[in-house]
Amino acid sequence: MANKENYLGEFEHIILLTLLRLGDDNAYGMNVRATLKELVNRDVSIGALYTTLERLEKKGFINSKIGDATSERGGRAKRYFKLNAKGKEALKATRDNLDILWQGVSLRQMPEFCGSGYAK
Amino acid sequence: MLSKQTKTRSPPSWATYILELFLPIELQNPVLGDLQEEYNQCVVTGLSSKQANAWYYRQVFTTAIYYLWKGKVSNMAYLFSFVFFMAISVISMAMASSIDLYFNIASIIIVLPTAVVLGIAATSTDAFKLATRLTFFEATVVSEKAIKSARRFISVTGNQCLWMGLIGFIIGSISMADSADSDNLIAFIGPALGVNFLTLLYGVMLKSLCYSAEQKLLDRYLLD
Repeated sequence: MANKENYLGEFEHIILLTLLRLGDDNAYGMNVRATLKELVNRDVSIGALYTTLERLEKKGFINSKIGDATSERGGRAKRYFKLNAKGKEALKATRDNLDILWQGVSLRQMPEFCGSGYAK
Repeated sequence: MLSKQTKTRSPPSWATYILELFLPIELQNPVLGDLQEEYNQCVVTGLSSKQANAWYYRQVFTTAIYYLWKGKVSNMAYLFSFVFFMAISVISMAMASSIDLYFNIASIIIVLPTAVVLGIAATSTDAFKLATRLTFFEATVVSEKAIKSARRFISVTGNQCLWMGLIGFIIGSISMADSADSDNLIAFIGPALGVNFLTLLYGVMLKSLCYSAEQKLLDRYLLD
């Protein structure tokens, strides 16, 4: 039986996918925020982002490393995040579970399940 | 076309400093660096300085509120007790007589800035910053040496507040003695002595706040 620790929340799910999409050399806070805004039009606060990234790191799904300090960042270093094998496994498991749940379901059928108040 | 280099600007430093106080130490570099990079991008993409600054203030405000809310209850407790202490003091003053009677800018200047400067002189500006953060907010990754230095800053500042209060009282007393007129001695001494005692009151109040801040540090970080 799957451990609760291995489940991904919706936000964790999209953060992991974004990290995967950005790759090792580009996956840091600002790029993650920009990608989410650009691709899914989701404004993510920097506090919520780093809290989730730290949680994912604690769960063992990602690793982080400190990059070099740059002048455009006021001499502050970037913190890069990278999906590890456990993270990829969790991502795959989440997709598999969602695929199973989506099988045989159509959004057009939804009103029938939602009671008479929502039938039309 | 202007190059990125010529358009690179720094966000308002005071806002950065405020956010730094709210952020956990391990997140300061990545978060503040990300925000500065985004700020520069705002400038490069054509936002005016005013618009870019407005964007930055919004980010600082929401992030600061986020981490303040996320902070542990024990950190909020000191902030709350600080506000409570001030509120009770002000209410007591208002009930005793007119509140105006208890405010004297000259006395505050004698006590607080002098004590803080002497505290920094005895330790460092880093100790001052860390002491502020450890008193009101959370800090998880801090070396024991840095915490001891912050504690020393609080201790020295608290003691100096008391000393400066006393020195202010003595200075005022000397001035009173020098200017006293035998014809209306009582009428003169009353108000002058009141102002004189204010310096001492500020010193004692600040010492009291510094004492509880120091005890919090001892309890949370340095208790063996």
